[in-house]
Amino acid sequence: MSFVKLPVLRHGLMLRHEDIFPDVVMAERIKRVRKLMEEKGVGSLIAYSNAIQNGPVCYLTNYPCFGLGRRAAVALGSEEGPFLFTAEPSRNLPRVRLFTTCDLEKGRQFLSAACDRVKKLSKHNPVGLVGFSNLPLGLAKEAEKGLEGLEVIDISRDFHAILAAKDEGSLKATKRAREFAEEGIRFLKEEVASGKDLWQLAAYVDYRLRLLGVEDTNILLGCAAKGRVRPGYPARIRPNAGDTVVAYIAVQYARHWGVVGYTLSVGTTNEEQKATLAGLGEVKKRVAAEIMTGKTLGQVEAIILEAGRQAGLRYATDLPLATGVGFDLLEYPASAEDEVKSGTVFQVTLGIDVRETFTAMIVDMLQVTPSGGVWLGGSAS
Amino acid sequence: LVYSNQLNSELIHYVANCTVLGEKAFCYLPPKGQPVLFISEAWDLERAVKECHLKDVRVIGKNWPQEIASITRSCEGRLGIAGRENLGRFGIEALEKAIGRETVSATRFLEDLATIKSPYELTLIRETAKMADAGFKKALEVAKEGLPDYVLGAEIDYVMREMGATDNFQMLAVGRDITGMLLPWGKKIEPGDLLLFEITPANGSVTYTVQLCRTAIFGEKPDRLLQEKFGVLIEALEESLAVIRPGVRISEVARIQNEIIGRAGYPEYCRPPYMRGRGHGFGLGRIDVEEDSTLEFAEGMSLVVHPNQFIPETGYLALGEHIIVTAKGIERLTRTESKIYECGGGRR
Repeated sequence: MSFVKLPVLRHGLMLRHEDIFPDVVMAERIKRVRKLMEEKGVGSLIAYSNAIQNGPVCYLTNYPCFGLGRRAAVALGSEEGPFLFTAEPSRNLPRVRLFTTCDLEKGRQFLSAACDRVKKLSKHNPVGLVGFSNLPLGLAKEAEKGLEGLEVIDISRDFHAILAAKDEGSLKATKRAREFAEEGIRFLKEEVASGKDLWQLAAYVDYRLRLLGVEDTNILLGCAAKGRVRPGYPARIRPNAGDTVVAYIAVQYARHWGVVGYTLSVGTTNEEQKATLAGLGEVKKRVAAEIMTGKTLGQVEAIILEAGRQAGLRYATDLPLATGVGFDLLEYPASAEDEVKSGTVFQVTLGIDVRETFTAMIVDMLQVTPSGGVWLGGSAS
Repeated sequence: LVYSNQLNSELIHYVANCTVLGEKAFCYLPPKGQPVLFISEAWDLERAVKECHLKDVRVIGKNWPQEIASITRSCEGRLGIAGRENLGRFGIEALEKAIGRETVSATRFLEDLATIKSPYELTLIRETAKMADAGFKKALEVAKEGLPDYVLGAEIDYVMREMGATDNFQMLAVGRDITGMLLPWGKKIEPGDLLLFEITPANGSVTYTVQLCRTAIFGEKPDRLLQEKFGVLIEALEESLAVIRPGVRISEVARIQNEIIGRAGYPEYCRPPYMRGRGHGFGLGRIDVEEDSTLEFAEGMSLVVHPNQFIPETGYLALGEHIIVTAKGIERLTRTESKIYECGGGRR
């Protein structure tokens, strides 16, 4: 799904996770970005993130835009930095220090301060911009003033492609997050027939996962006795015996999202549902081999569609087939022409409405490699 | 036109009673006729229709400016957009090009409307206060030696979620000599630790949030120093609440609290970086309780008043009450007494 979850405050355990992101991982990221800067002919780079699109700043600093300020900027020079500037620094800094080793800069007008810094770092060369199309109007004016007189080049797309190609740290975090999401499905299975309504079930799954030490969750559930059903903001509907429940469980761990979606039956699953889910499982196995580095997102979607067609399955058209996932629930590749990089992880959604009698949906994560895709939970998960 | 993204979902919730999933949503309120809600996720359409009860709900895609232009065409004059600031420059340019006329910000207009809550909204807020009370009660019940802070947070969240809380802008801190609210980082509760809470459940929208700020000490009784310093906060809270009634300047609350805390020996700690505001509203219709606030209290306002304070001898202390301004004064919403709490059994 392309539901974009806004983490208002990360409520769960927030650690730096040095085991996943040792200094060497962060140093490699900086090196990679500096190489891009060189290729693009920019002397310094300024990236902006908010709570919806955490990626750019988090990639370079391990800092997620959460809570009070919800916005941050990072400045990187060809030799110095990164320097992190967060909104509401006086209240945020004690928390920020828990998980970033990057140089923290104080300044109430965080973006102006970041512009000043990047100006100094650029040494009269052009400045690379990342994420500036997401600036709200007031901040856009501030940035324009702050960068006045400098040549600027938007390198957002290339930057996003780099962070989408998951490095060792990101991949570890994503896999772990996915394992938690699968655990969430297990918790849901245990409780789905307990008499709790969907809201209570979501609360329960969130609670169990938080006890395990996740940062945040995004749980969408839907339920119906018959007909089309979609995961959604959990309603106060109690699943009854024979109902179909579709679940989308996203879990954030070490700043990365893991996602698993599945269809459950309350009580016994009928044979047709079993067969349909098995059919989707077969499609999953089949598509993996063909989704490889160098394809575009449009081609990836075509592969998934074709596999479904060959299996005699017609997907629901309102569900997005494949979207990038990692730091954010919706990230590169997002446009049909975006090229898939090695290490990119997709959330793939396969959903079918069977003759208006029931819906079957599975969501899982596919990592792309030069020789094909690998399902993070194994193809049979 | 009202615009929300995930960062500002309260705007659409206010006009359409719809929880924004997906990237963006618009609600068009024509001078006459029915509103139209635009959402960005096709799979969420049925749910959105059920939740908002509007007759016309549509899904927009990449050509959203044209889709909005097609229905705003009949409206003459400038188009006011609440949330225009968050559309960003490219969004505004694309929309203005599509509709062929200028747009202006209508955010203030909506903010002003939402400052005074309707009786129905006040009912929602009162329900939220019960969640906050339950969250704090749960925290005191479950606190035990060795319990990590994130588990404490999960317990608070769970009890409130079960009651229907849609979110919890929760900040908490566990330890000694705390300088401010922290994120859960795995700190285990030890005897003598202070547990600081800003329990902040929301009910549907962040606009219907209640905040309960409290301090508890684990495994010990508060010593004389702690009681004395906390007494300053209680005095600041009570004295400032006593002046609130319609027509009184909001800044008066901040002035009284800063004066009392300053008189106790901490004037420099009443300013940034140690402290900022002395309270605030939530979501749409925001109120800031600061010494330079120019707004006056009015009947139907909902806000938290908190003399939370960093004190060098004790560390940060939390105390705050959520109130509704009534015709004659205030209504305190939570039932949790304003005092320092003990949990985990006293040792002295």
